[in-house]
Amino acid sequence: MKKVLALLLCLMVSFSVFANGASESSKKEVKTLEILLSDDTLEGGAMAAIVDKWNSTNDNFKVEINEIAYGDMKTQIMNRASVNELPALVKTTEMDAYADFLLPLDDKSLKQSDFLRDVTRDGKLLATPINSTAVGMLVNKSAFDQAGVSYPTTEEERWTWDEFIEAVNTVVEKTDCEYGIVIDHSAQRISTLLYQFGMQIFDPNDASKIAFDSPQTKEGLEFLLDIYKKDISPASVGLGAENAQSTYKTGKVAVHMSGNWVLNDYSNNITNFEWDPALMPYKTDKATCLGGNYLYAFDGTGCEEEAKEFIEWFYKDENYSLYCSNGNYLPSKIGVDATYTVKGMDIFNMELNATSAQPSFDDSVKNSHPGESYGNALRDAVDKAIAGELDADGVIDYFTNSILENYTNVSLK
Amino acid sequence: MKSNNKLNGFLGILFSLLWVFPVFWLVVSSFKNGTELFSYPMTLFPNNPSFDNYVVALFRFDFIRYTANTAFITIIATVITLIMSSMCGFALAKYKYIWLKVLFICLLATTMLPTEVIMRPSFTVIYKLGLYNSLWACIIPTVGTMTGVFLMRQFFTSIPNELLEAARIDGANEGRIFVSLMLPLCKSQLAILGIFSFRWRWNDFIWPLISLRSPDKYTLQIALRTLSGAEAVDWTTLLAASVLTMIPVLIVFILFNRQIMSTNVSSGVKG
Amino acid sequence: MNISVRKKNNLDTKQKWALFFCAPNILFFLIFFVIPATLGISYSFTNYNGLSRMDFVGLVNYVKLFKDLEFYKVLFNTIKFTLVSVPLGYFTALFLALLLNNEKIKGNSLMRILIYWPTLLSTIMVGLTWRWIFGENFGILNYILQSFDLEKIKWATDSNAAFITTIIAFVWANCGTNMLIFIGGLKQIPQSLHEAAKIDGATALQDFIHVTLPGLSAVSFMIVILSIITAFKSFAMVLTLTGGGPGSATTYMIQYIYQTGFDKMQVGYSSAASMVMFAILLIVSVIQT
Repeated sequence: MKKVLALLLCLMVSFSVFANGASESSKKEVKTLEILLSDDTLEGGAMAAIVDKWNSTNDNFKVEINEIAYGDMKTQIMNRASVNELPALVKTTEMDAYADFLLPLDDKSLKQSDFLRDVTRDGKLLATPINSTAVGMLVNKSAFDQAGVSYPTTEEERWTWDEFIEAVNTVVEKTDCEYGIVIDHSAQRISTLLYQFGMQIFDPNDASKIAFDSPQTKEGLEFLLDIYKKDISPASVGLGAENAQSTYKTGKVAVHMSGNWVLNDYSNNITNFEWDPALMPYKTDKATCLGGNYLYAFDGTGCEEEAKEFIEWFYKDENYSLYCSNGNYLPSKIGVDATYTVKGMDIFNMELNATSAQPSFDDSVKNSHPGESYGNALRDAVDKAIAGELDADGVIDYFTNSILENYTNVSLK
Repeated sequence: MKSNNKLNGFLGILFSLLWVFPVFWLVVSSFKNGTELFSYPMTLFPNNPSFDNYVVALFRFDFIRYTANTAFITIIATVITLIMSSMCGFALAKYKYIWLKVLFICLLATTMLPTEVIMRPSFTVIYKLGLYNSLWACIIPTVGTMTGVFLMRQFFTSIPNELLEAARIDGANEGRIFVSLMLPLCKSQLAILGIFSFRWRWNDFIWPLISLRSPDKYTLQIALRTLSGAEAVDWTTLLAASVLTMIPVLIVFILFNRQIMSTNVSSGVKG
Repeated sequence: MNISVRKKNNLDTKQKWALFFCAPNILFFLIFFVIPATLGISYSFTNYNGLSRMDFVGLVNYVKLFKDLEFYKVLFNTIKFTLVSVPLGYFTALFLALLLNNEKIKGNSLMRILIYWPTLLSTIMVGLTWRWIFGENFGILNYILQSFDLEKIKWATDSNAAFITTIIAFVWANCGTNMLIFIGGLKQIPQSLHEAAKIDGATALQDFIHVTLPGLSAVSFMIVILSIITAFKSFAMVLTLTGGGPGSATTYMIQYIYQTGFDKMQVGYSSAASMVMFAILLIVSVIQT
């Protein structure tokens, strides 16, 4: 046995030394740009396809993908920033945390007016919004059909939140669905519902004033907490203990409040019932929250010109359209169309066109506080409320205090 | 006596099955497809078991490279850990100096600040030592593990001092005593520590996360983490990949387990 | 050379050897603990946000910490978790070690492997697996309960049930390791002692109390201290299992430190919390030794 072990040991060590040596000895004559990102393979490898296209049609420099876990992005970037070894390009969900290191892109042909989302800071174009995501709803079509309840796919048909509750209660009664709705464990989803009740985080007339404490917010919060109290939505999902997406896939839930990013997963993995996107309800406002990733370059990497060249090439209509089609993304550049392999993206486009301006406004206020963050305070507060530790007023206090604690130059309205 | 053994055996089977059930369920689930994984009512065994998930997992990552990197780190770190822990554990157990007692408390203190908390300062140290983006950065900071030292120390305290005195009178110096007398006695403890060290390094993701930034240096755990995205988790691939990464550690355990069974220290004391 | 001089030389040589044996670990301690820990302490006196802002603020973080109700709640949760999981883990591992130490049982090697297997899972997979099992609406346990017409248990929304899930997952994941260490310790007790006790007419229980337990005292000490420290440091597993919920019922120290430090970008404040945790653990260990 000892001999076997010794042999195994020698084999593994020599193998790994070989593996290490091989990678070091392959020197690249051509300059290679690193693009650091996460979630590309999970979402269909759209960036990999575009990078392949660049590499096969350009010889002055190559691009290489360095894919890491979403949860590790911030750590990696912050560590690398502190020792000046940043990657040339990055695709990720945040840009303001790294504002000090971003490379301005103004000297290329891209302009803020080309894009749907705000990526300008201090008058400079510091990033590009590589895609847009929108919060929306997916319904269990089989259940709705069985119960004889219709769901809205045009603006005229949009439910009010009260009509929504009636509809899902009927579906639950008449089918073997156990719950009316599951909502992702996310501040963004919660906010979307509150926005639909007329909530404002910051005052649209004065961005330094916190306007969260209002009768509209309270009404929205009480409505949301009621959904859990009345068991229309399972508290375990509300608390994040059970995952909304997994729960919806069992077919026992009538509606999933999520976003367009689940369309890929649902197309591939749901075969035991039919599903369909539907328009979200409203109380006073129609609203959806935008999200999405950014693509930007870092300053001080020695590859600034090449990085800008790649970004400009990336947003050429034929390339960007290819990217959005491969990944089933909503385009963030105005006037670009994509052909999707999944159905239902048009519903999310409708949501984007119908939304009030408050969610984007609040986002831009957040963006104007670089280096400051109140984390997931709203979600944490709602968690406590679902657990019975706080009521709607308590949530309002918790959230407003978190903002006051973490942001400078803000005050209560 | 026989009925005692039978009861013993029965309880053993009961508990070990109970214990392994969640892992068993994990392994069995890795053969299910995406729809079946979330179907309700649940199924234990897959209706159409297939290796599809494993195929996807193997082609998703550069498995061979990542395994080679992880193996390199794990094997070398384990060997160094065994040497360091047995030396230090021996000294802590068999010598009576005040600075040793202080050292013991100091080493114990190293376990009380978890790496997550001193991640940024640790990164700075790694960088200043020129180890950034090298596999050695995943080895060197981990070999001083206190659990290893503690394990060897408590083992050596049980060895009677007469053994050492006898060897010293015979003229052997301390180093000789350690290598020729002490080490052979602690084979089963070394086997246990070897199993632990192998497992720790194989599953470690903190140090690789802090110290590596090129894809060709990544380890298996880093690759596994990419399966959990911002909004979605690739469950089917994650399950298969987790099972795959478990296999080498399991093999090492099975091989080393035999070492633990055989040794009995009392044979050194008699006569 | 007279005897006293030779003895003194022996002492010096022995001490040099002791130093030599410990040298690598001492070096490790200085480079990878003292230096980062000192940096960490220095952060706690600033308002460092992880990126660019670092101004000296003196004791402000500590004062804020002592007034922070959330911190006390998390500390209480962690202590409660440790007080329950450590004895439970100890006795479970000891019980299993005694059970599987008997080489005469067929297949006891296989049984050891099965019990050790869970420790091979990464902490994240442990958390995910148990989260599935304890799923309140779509988990195995409640499914089994419901098929026997029993009430399903609110594993996620009831604080006490959630607490129990963290205990179960923790003990389950760590038992194999402690069991192995106990087995190693059991094998160190000379068989002659057991035989002598049998000759003296001791029952199995008396043999256990008077021979086995004392023989395991060094091992027990080690397992208890290490278990306390491991329990205090539980993070990745609990985070994936309950996310710290419901509310903050199962939020433990490291999660609190990590979320303040990284999510809220208050590295200075979270360093202060880490130092307090460190001090508590140090005091507990010194008392024990």
